[in-house]
Amino acid sequence: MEPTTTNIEKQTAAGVDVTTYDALVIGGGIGGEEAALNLANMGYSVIMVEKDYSIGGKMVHLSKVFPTLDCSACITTPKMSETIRHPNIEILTYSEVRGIEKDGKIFNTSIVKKPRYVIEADCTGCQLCEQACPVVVQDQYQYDLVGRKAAYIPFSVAAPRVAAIDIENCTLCGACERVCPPNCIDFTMKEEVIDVIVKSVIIASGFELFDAKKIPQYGFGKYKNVIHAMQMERQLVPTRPYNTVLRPKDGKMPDNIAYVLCTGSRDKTIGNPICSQVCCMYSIKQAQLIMGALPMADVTIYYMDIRAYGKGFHEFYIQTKNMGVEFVKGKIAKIDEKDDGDLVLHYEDIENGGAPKTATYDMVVLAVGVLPQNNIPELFKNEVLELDEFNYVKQTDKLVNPGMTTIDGVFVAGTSSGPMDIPDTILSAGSASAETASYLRRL
Amino acid sequence: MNAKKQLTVTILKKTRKASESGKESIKAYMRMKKKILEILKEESKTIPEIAKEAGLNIDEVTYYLMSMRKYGLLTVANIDDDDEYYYYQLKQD
Repeated sequence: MEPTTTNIEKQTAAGVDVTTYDALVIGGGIGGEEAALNLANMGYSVIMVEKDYSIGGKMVHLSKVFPTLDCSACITTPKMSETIRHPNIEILTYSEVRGIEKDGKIFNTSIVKKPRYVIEADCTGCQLCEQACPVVVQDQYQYDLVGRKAAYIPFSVAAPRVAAIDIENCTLCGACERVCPPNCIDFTMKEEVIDVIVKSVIIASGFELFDAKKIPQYGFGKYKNVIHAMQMERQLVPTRPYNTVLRPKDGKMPDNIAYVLCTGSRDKTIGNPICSQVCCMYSIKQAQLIMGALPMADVTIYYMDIRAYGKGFHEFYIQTKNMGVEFVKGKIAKIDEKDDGDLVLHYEDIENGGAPKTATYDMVVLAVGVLPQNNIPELFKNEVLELDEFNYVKQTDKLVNPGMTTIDGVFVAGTSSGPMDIPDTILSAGSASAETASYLRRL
Repeated sequence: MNAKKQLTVTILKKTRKASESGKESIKAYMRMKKKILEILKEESKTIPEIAKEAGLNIDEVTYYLMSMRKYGLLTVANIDDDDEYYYYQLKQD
């Protein structure tokens, strides 16, 4: 059971000043959670702002992590729960920072809390509203592979596990309100502006996935059996959209699956010349998981270079090869669809003379890269948060103080500073929180 | 209790219209649901069989059938002899 009263409400009742916090953490993914918990456990007060309905970021939607194949949700949900219950952490979900102004040693911060049309403290997560809602639209948490209702719990392990109304698709039929046992659906909710004072800021807003439609020759969005890696990730979790790994076009169980690495990474033509750090390894991980889910399936990975650089990564790569996954060094030129939904890959076979070749697959997974979030500097109204040449938050002292940015008192954690995997994100968040604590002690 | 519930949606209705996309999604879902339930009334079928029998776009059948499965209207039966397509059936009460 999640707490039924928010920390702000409890503290207000106790006469505590709730408008001042030691740290503002922007983003409630694994990096933000780690940084917030480190500071909170040191006794600092933290306000976390998460744009989504739930904290957890992208990690909570993954199947397993590489190279250990530990269950991703099993690792991250206890941390989500610890974050949401911590007495020193106040969390605002479905909220966005509108502006931050530095004033001497403090930051005046304006936060917008958008209406979810459900009273968070009263919702029990019973899902009766979801059952009653007649609307079915694409489920963004399943990356559009299946439908969801307009009144819904975002996903099964959401924290807080509270329903939300998708007002853009709501027909205002009132069915959800009529069945809600605790009477917590409230269509009169309005956007709320919350002004707080913080002494430091940690940017942990994460990354954006590359939009595969920007490479039209791969056919994503046009050919239903071309999916991106997060869609395959969802097909491999227990809360999957289908009963097993299936083709979205016709529900066929695929016999052979191809991966296209570096989709949207190391590609100047789409404006992202750098390596995304994670695509090789998550593709290798997914290949192993597919072989578990579909023992008869063949998996082929088309790559430019395999970058298995971390602890245990190379061994994991060799293990995957030994399991029978085929690796082909070759850049994909284009993908065509046949009448039966099969896909023809046109590629350059680099290791065999570079000749153009074709191969046919039931399904193609695009290993999409990661991109920076571009709106972060706009949040700072009277200071300049500089970005690096790849549009990630600039680290001014990368070797000694990797969390430091161009604004004194503002720190960066995780993939806001560049592409990295989960262990590196946690290390980065640890560093940012230590630097923030050091800064706060010096104030 | 219901008086207050109805009141909040009534209040919003004064300033906001019902979503057109929401209305369209209800129509589309109900249309597909009716056809799929009708086809599966007698026996379990695969997605291509349902699409062919109903004259529907196969990827739409997949999407809506999986949504119906998610909300408990259908269950998965066995797979066909070629190990390619699963059969889906109405949920037995």
